[in-house]
Amino acid sequence: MTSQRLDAMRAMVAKNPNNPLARFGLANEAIKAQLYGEAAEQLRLYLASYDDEGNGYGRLADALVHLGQVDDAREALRRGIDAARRFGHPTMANEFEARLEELGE
Amino acid sequence: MRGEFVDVNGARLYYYAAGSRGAGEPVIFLHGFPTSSHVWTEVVPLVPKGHRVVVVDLLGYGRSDRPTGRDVSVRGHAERIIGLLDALAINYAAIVGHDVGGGIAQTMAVRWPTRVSRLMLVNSVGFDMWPGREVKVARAMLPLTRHLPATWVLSIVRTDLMRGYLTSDRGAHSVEMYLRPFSSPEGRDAFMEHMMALDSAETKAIEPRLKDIVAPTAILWGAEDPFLPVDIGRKLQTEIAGSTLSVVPDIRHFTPEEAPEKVAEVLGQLLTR
Repeated sequence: MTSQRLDAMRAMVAKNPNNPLARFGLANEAIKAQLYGEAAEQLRLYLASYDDEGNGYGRLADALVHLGQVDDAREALRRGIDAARRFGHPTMANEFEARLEELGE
Repeated sequence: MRGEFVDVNGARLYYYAAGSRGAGEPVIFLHGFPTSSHVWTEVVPLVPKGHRVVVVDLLGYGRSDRPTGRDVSVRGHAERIIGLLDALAINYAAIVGHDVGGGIAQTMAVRWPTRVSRLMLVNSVGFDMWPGREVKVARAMLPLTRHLPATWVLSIVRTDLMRGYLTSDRGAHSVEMYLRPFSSPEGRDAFMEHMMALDSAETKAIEPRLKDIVAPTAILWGAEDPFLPVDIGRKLQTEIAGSTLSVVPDIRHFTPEEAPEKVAEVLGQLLTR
């Protein structure tokens, strides 16, 4: 089923490359399939064009940690903290701060 | 299972937590009008293991605060549930909604798409296909009925709600529970606030954006629902790409109470998609 969803989301992105939410959906399916490189790529494209409230940065950080790109994961979390605070999600910001500490900052 | 109150922007919301924390994302259950978290009682124990479960009494229902002038529209509830997720440190969750709760879930998936991992709509409101004629008539009569004793108003509501049940014993027990918070004069006023807020403006406004929902979505319907016809479910399936529709024969409006195993089965499948 996940594979079908992954293919469907890839098709949706191909059809609507300017739709950031389609990219977010594809990234989530890629994470479920443990395709972290594809997930990180799609999340970066999504975040470049969508004013995310924080969770997208957190999911990018997860994917980057799986890829061993810890410095980039820290940067994603820092941006996520800024976004979460800006949109009034303080507990999300606190969680990202805790994860930053776990990553050695 | 434990119940707690959480302050969300000055309003006390009641919720109870169940399930077990694990690898799966949290599952949030939202009820409709004029019910409460009780509607999910027989579904919750059947949720697959590994998921934190949060079952909410929306503002003005069950044990949560009365509305007292706060926004109890579909959009207002959705904003408050996002606030509840923040308070509970839940970034990303599967949202399951029945009746008006389904409208709230749709709004969350459209307006806060990165907070909704999966979406399940059970006998949900949708589009401009609600509220039904009975509610519209009752609203038109509010200038009169708001001065009548609560017991008189609730006796009419009780009779109408019973049409939503296949099993009358179960219905009688649940309806009494749902209407109890509205049995005082203050409760009657709260009930009137809810009635006034039963409006399709939000579900109509988000209709063009349903096609952008990227969360895996399951739709489930009692085939004989006298309030929200299965046509709404069929239209939701057409609009939400990749969604599934399951229709339960014979069951009316209160599918979570009268077919909990089917609700859990569809939810279980959704959580693996």
